[in-house]
Amino acid sequence: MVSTASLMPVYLALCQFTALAAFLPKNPRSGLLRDVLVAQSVLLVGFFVVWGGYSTDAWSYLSGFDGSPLVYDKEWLFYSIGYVLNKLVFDPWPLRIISSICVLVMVVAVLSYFGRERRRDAIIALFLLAMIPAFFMTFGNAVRQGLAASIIVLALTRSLGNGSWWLVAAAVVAWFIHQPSILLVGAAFLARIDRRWLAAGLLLAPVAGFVAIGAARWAGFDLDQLVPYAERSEGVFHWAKFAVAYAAAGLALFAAGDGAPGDRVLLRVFVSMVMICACVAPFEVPFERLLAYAEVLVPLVGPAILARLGVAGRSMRLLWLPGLVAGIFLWTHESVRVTLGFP
Amino acid sequence: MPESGSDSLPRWMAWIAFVLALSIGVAGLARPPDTPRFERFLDEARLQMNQGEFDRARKYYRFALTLDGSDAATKRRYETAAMLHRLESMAVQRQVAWLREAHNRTPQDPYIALYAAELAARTGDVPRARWFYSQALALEPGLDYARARRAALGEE
Repeated sequence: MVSTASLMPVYLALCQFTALAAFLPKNPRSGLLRDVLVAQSVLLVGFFVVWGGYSTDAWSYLSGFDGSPLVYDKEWLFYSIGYVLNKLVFDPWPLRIISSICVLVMVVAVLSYFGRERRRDAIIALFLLAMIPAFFMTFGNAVRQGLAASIIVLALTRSLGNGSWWLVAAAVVAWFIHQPSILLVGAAFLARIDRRWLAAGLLLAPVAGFVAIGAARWAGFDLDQLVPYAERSEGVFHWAKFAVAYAAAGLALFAAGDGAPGDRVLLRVFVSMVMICACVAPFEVPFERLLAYAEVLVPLVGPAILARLGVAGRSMRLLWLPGLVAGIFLWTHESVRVTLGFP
Repeated sequence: MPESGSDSLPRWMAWIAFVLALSIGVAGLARPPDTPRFERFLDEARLQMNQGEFDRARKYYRFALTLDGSDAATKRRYETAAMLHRLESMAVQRQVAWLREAHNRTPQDPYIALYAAELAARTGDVPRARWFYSQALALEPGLDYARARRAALGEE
């Protein structure tokens, strides 16, 4: 009997296969691109309907949905949503629905940002969405963070042309879902500084964490009390993730000098968020949790970075296979399987 | 506008991949019980029951039931956990009334007996607590916790 866990990578590989179809013709018609986008969107949103709901932390969320949400003074909005869903559907559907909503909001953000003019970029973005660990860890398990992140990402794409009120409204909503989300909003405002200052900040940020540890030891202060989960060390590929994120931020900084105005802003937000994460790089769990806020921007900034690197249609056909292999490595990795609750 | 030749093949490919993926999704959703996972939920639920965490136990039993709703033993244990959770949130007077009522009947579930024993011990009713611990052990001899608690209360 084929297990549910082994069906998951096949489903995701087929989802990624639909993206390839958009890069096979030299000049694809908009009808093909539209069809591929519909297929990708439906499959990505539907993913957690099938494989969501049994994650490592599912238990704590589902039990939290039982009682009054008002006892969660900081996160009452998230638990209110869960409370209502708990009244309407049985376990583990409330969590499956919330995870799917997270993905839906991300998909809406991608589609509305790239619009009709950049459908190929939107396809690359949705291809990348299934390739980021945050898709599984955050939307599939740490759903409070996932929901807050997706709302802020949507607001970011809306705020590019209409000022910052979208972002401020999203910040207020996300605050009552997952408070550290304010850091992503902070990154959005930090992105307004000059690119050279941003580069300097990115260079110095990894040092900051070590300096803080040294200074705290010298002063006899316990830093664990200030940085939540600082003492925990169950990070997976912690330094490798740091290296990849740092390199991606460097590329983003390079790409931010050119291209569409919206892209330039989002690339800077990504760099700012990686910079904030780099400040806590020595602490495994806080770093990885914060990095998820940068990861959710990858689908939006990825196409711009690839374009800056000269990866157009033909190269995308060549990159698809290595991308799929990397995806299969991620989807079958123990950390993803265990996080989603498979034995 | 007619479909161009170069687009129709990729379009078909995309739709076939989409339909295949959807079929896999539906198959995954309507899957038969995932036994290792089912056992894992039951183990966790038992652990929570033994620790007196009835609300958590109830949830794990519910998880297990979503995988296999036909398992009568799990269903019964889920109801026990739910009942104990409700009992736990009652006012003390109502708990004591329930305890008196429960003493009139021989408990059928070790965890209900265990809870009753704990409740009796908490309210200082040592003979009744001892009796309930014995009932719990009779129903579930592996409940070392109940044995230890009964020993701590001393002999009659």
